[in-house]
Amino acid sequence: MPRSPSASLTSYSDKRLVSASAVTTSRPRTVQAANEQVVTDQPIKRSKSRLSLGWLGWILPIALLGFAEVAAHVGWVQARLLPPPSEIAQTLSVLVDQGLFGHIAASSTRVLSGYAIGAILAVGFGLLVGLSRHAEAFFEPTFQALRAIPSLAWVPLLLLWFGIDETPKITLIAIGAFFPIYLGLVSGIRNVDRKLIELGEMYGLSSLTLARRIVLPAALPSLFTGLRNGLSLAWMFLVAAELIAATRGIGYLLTDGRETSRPDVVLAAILLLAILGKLTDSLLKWLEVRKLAWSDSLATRSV
Amino acid sequence: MTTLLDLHIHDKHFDERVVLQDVSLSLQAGEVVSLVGKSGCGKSTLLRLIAGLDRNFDGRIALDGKPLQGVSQDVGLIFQEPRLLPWLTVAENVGFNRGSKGAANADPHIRSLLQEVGLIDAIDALPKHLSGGMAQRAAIARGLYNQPRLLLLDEPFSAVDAFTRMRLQDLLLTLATQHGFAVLLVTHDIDEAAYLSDRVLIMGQGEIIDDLPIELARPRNRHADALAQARDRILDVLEEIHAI
Repeated sequence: MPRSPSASLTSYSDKRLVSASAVTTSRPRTVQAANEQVVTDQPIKRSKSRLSLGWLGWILPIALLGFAEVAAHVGWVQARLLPPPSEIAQTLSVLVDQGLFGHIAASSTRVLSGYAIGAILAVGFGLLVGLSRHAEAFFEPTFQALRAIPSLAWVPLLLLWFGIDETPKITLIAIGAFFPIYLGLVSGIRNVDRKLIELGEMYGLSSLTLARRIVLPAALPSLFTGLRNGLSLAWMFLVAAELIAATRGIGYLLTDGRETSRPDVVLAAILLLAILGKLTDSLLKWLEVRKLAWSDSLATRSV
Repeated sequence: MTTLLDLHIHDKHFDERVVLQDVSLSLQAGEVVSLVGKSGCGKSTLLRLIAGLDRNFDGRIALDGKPLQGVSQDVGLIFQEPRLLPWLTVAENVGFNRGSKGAANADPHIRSLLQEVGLIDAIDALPKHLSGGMAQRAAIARGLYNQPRLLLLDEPFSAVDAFTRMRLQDLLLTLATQHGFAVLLVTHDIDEAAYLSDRVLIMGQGEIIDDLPIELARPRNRHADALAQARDRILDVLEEIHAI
């Protein structure tokens, strides 16, 4: 039996890693249990190596940009069709003067509002269908049929119903974001380890408490996967919506660039989509890493 | 000694298959009893019935003379795997069932349980940072949180290495003596059954075939000849059953 800990009560800080490393330093006093002691500093090592590997991800995009630059200047490709990155950068700075941030704001607002509506509905229905057999039997067939419709097929209908202002765009984005999130949550709830449920039953938990304390936390990783998939679809449907009818937004830039034969504008818009998509996804990933710090699989995943 | 657990299962079946038939069992307070038998003989099912996880059977189970209906705070169950909730710390897992709010790692009851199982230094650790043996210690502490009169264990040490297993076995005996709970242990390990038990119940297909008392003083010596003899007796009965 180990002696009482030298640390006082208040020194058990919220930061798990700090207290976990305290385990390793104070533990060897108890020879008896030293054998089965885990290497608690492992996650720290992992995050270090993750950090030091981060630069690897920059190699490919920089190399591609460099190659495109050289290719245009040497004449391997027609600069008229594939302008070099330096020209795209110039175009971007010109666009900034012509109100680029207005386009970015318009598109971001659409994505965020559509995504938020889709996500809220998806989480609501996902909880209902995942937790209630009756709700499942009631909703699932309909949702399966709706999901089978390629979402772009809604566009003409949405235009007929809502005209060409913000409503049809946001609705389309919400539809696009809904299904991945809904499916992620439902499958997360379905796949909760039966053994953990049994543990809850052992404590005589009511179904509601069981859902709140065991099922939902256990389904969280799957929900996050759905949220991230839904976000990428939201951006996709934004472009679809803006390509069809818009006077502002990144999708509008794409159409405008094509109609005015400006590949540099088109490429600048594509670059912006890549950056915005990556930024918003990183935001979700940051939240995921914070919320799922307990997950064993996440620690090994690279950021 | 007073009778703690008294049960008679007339019949328990899954679909057409009979799993338990006319099984009678009684346990004295503080007694350590093992259930051995080959896979599928109904040991684990019997444990689940006592734990209240399965109420679909014909028979009666009484604790302290009162019928047990469903799960009870007086009966703790420890599974083969620790089954810790990965998003909770060790302290939060141990105190999973506590009604009161507040920080689990400041709860004196949780702290003293973790002290007893040798995990106080890992009180704030997440399960992913625990070794198999440490996780099972946390599970034992959780099983003792409600101060059960009877602790059921379903092959609790089968997934850990031999040295850890021996330490956990000794820990279980120490805790049983200190807290005074009775132990009903399902195991495949005949050495474990002989070393831990006051009695070993040997199960054939759906029934208890033999009830072997192990009358050896405690603390027991793992290397004693008497223990080896007890183990051989268990083995003889098991071989006899399977020869039929």
